[in-house]
Amino acid sequence: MTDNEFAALPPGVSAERFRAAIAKFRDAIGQEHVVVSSERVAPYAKIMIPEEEEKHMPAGALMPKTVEEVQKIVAVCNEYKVPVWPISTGRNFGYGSAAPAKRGSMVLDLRRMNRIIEVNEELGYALVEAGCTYQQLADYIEEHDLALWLDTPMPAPIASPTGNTLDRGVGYTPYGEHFLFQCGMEVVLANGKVLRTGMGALENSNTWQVFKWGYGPYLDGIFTQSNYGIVTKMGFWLMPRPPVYKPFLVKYPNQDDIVTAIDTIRPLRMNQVIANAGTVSNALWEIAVGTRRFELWEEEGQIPDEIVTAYAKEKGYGAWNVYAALYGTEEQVAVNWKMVKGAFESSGGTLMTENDMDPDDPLWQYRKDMMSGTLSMQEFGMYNWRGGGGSTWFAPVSQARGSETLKQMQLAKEITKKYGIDYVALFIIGWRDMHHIVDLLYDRTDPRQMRGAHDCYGELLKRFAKQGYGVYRANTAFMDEVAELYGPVKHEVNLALKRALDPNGIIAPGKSGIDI
Amino acid sequence: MTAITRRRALVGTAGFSLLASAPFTFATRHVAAGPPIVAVATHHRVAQAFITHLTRTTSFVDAPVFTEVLHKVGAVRKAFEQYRGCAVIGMVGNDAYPVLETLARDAGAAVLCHGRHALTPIENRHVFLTTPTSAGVSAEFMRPLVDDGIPLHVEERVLVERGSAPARTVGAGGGWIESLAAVYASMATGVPCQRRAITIEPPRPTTGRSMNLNIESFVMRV
Repeated sequence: MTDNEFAALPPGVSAERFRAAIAKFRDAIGQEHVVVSSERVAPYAKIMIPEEEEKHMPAGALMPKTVEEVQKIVAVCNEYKVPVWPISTGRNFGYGSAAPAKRGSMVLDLRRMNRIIEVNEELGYALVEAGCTYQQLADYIEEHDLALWLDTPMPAPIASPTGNTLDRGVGYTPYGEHFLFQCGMEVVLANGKVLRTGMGALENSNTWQVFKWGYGPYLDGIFTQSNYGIVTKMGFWLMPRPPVYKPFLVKYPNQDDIVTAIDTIRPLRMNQVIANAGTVSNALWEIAVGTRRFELWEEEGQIPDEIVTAYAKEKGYGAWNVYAALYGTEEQVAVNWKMVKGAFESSGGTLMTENDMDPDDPLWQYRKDMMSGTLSMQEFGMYNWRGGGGSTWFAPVSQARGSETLKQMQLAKEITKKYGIDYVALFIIGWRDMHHIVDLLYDRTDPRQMRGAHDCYGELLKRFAKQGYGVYRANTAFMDEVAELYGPVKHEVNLALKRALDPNGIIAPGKSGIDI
Repeated sequence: MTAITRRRALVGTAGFSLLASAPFTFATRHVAAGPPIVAVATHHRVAQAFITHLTRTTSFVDAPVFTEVLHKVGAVRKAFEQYRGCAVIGMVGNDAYPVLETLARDAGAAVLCHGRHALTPIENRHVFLTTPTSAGVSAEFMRPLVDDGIPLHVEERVLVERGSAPARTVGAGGGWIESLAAVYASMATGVPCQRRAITIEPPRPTTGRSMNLNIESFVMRV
């Protein structure tokens, strides 16, 4: 035994006992699928959030291939009190990546469980294993020439529908609210039993992926952003490919125009004239995707508005940029376009369609791709803005009212400025809400920036909460704090469920602040 | 804006002259031991300079496909399969590295060392995330560096032990690309590189902006 035999040890588990557990894991799933060597564990520890890797260092990784293997793993975990941190592909960049909330958990990497079990074109759904990626599905749809669209988040080619949906992520088509379009799960519980939710509980059911609710309490929700079970399969709906797709962009020249933009969008979205989860991005978001910060500004402190405004003007970006789309038949799109055109033009925005755009404009292209479920990683360009591998998403929810988004914008700008962090932000258009997404970009090579980003996130959380705002999703460094903000009663219920379903606390301790 | 531009230019010029006069020392023979090496670099001039220095240190196969990771995920996955048994040394942008590393993870690769390099007009920072195989890389990296007048911050975070090696800030930074190439080649091959002074054309920072750099480097074993 050496000091570096393991990257980390599970809390309260001796090296000797951990060695015994590893032997059992190897018996269960094969030696090559149990990773404990430090060099192979290292990539599971990499995080972009503002905290040291050591706090989130996994003890190793397990890569099962089947549900039966997951059941065997769970049995060993219970016997040795070794916790696991399930990931589907582990691409939750900006929220903690693949690393566990608590040091010493074993990453349960489900990427080998990546089968596409069914894609049904007639009924528009898919059933996949947890490790299946959007790329696999896109390839399948293309290969079989199916008239279906995916709805994907930003790192789509390498991310999985299951992982993104379980963290209640979003995409940009009319099916953008992923959990809303999820239908049926298979879950391995901590006691090793396998639960199929909704209609999947019935023998020979053919309605598992077409009716969400089943009978009795609806359970799927408790397996999202939680640690009550290990989701091994998930069903979800796919959008029929529309005959006509008409993306458009509306630019507003001033920062305060966020009020007009949102108040113009809201009735169109609520009435499903604009059916998709479009976005309203600020000028700095547009700039950061394709530019490095020092090209505009190389001083410390938040980049001044006048610098951003001047550069945006030069490049033709609005202070706010609405990307949305129409979908349907020729007739439907024509009718809806009249309403969209009238509303936005009278609001003072500059409305642009495909014909007005440079086909080689990467910003337009990636938005157009994402609103039609086409895979893109263009947005990774933002990681070059500041450089140094630091990013975390502060993601409060706002009412879909202009006055509310303005209030959030002003508060976020004030707090980020205090810490010298640029306000790189967009709003994702929900039916009645806006997901306000602020990417806190910082350089991990600079300890001051890292500390600043950490403290900035903490202050954003607290001061937004004082105004009654909460985040829809949190990174692994701040899960306890976020859980606390949602109050003691909710926390007690979360813990009661945890004790009932996972009394040894072996599944993802610390997820969403739930730890027993 | 004028003032900023002038400052950039001054810093860039100073950096150029000092880099050019640095007494570079590198391997005189190609290292044959150890696993085959695959090298990766973006088109950035510094990354290309890194490859140039690597050329003088060891033999390798150039694998540009890895730089296309944001556009050709499938091809990169295949490349990891193709290069199974090889060491992969590279330098890529901040946008590409997180994706590349997760694909390496999928391929079962070991990440021996990951470096983050930030060069600004007022400070050069190099942070190494190391494992037992690469622990101590920061000291090796710093040994041949020469004073270029810009404060240097080198930090090593040992990933698998609680705590980090203390950051060191000293007034020396010139020649870091060459040093990094030599250290990484040694790490990948397991063979210390012999060194002697040779003439290497330095990268050509023609404007001040060229001194602003943020890039990531790595050594993996697939």
